[in-house]
Amino acid sequence: MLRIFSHAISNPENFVVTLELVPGRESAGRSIDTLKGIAKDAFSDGRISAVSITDNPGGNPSLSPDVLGYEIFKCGMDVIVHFTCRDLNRVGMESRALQLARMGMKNILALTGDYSGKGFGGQGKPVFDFDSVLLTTLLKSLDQRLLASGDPDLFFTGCAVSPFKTTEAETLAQYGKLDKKLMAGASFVITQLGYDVKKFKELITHLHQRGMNPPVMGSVYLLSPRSARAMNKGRVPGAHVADTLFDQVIKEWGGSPRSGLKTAIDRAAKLGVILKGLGYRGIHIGGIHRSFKAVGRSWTGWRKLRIPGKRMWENSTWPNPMPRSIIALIRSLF
Amino acid sequence: MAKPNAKVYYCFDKVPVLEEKKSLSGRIKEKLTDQYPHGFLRTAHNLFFDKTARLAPVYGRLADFLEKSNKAWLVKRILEDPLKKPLLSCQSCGDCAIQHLAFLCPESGCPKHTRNGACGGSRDGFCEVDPDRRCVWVRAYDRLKHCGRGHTLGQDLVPPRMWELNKTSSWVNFHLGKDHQKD
Repeated sequence: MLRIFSHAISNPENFVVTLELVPGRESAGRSIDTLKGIAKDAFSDGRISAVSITDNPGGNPSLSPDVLGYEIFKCGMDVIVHFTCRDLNRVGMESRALQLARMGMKNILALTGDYSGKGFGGQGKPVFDFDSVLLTTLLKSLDQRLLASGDPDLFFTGCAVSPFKTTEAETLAQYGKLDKKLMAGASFVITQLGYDVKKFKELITHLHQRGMNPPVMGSVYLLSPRSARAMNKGRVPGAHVADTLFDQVIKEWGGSPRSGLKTAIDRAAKLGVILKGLGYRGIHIGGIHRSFKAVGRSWTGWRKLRIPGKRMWENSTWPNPMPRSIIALIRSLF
Repeated sequence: MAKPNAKVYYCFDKVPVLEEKKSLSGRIKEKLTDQYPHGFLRTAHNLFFDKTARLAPVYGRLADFLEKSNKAWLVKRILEDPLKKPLLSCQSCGDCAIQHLAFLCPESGCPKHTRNGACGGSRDGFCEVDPDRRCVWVRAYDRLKHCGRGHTLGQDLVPPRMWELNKTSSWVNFHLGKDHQKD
């Protein structure tokens, strides 16, 4: 059991890669074996710093990230546990945090969480006793108690931000809340999923203007037509896929799934390069459901990537043409 | 002047976002649902819920008397509920946080009851849970921007809601120093 994520991301010279795993509504079987297989392959590969495990995504019941995380953690892979405010009140949340501390899994992604989805007999009662800012504060206060009880290994709490907002009010509200999360003690930031490079840059600029320099990881996702449609229609809260990108994904996968996947991998690789150029300290890869191979290929693609010219960045993948300053920045990387 | 960007707002962009011109009925609706209630509630708050105001000790003594004589519920039933329920859809949490949200209620206005800022789920200014309803934080920003205070949105770090005050008078709780604003 290794806790390498916090060290890896705290070093500004590193570019960290983490994988997001999404457990299903089973306690055993092929889907769980697949997730454990991906985690094991990622550990053997050695380039992934941690896997993060979602907490009832979409508000729908699924295997607890605590138990799956612990099994993966025991295999040697570091784990980031998603911790939402939807299903537990403050008493339950503190109890869960103590449980995670006891199990040694102290990398927490503190989230308010999606709204309640459907469970046994209908929609569940949404709790939301705390929000992500208060959860971060709670975990910070638990740090003091961990120290007092003789445990020097503290929580490493992260937060999420969604820069992909279209209105002024939402954008400023997101950044205002991010500032609060960082002031409450969040040590790293992971963005929501989006494909607007200007928004990725805006986030970094905002942090620099505030005089803050936390490690920020950008979300990268292998878009399939199914996931792109769900995100385009707003069925994945916070994730944003523009109409132009959605049409392009449909066209790419229209020929053959193999070529579609290849393009998705290329897009992930390109976004990884751009994020590195913008000053992001890592990428958080989602959408890996079957095997670790796609990540490996994305990585290889990333290493091989050469900047072919302005045109590539101005294609309709992005909602807006990329500003010249960013193109120049990316060029300077190679 | 650069040509307005039709869709997306960027903080550091010199290109302004093209704002939709509101119809007359839209402007009247905005005044009735947001600007007038905001002005009224802000003024009332400054008059009655400012601990530095000259009359604050009087309110404090009155709240103390009501609490000791077990009559705080009367204030809630006769004054607080008739005013706050129609104006704010008040849920009687007893630990009122409307002042942090441009005098909108996080309990009735936000399905996630967020007191410290918007969640990440809103889309084009509308709520993740109820897409027909504008996000309460977006409404709050518009209210504040209208009076030149947009930058103050969500600045306060609001402590957890005190559930022990549920279904009690938030007015009395405030003046007795029982709610989250005790300091």
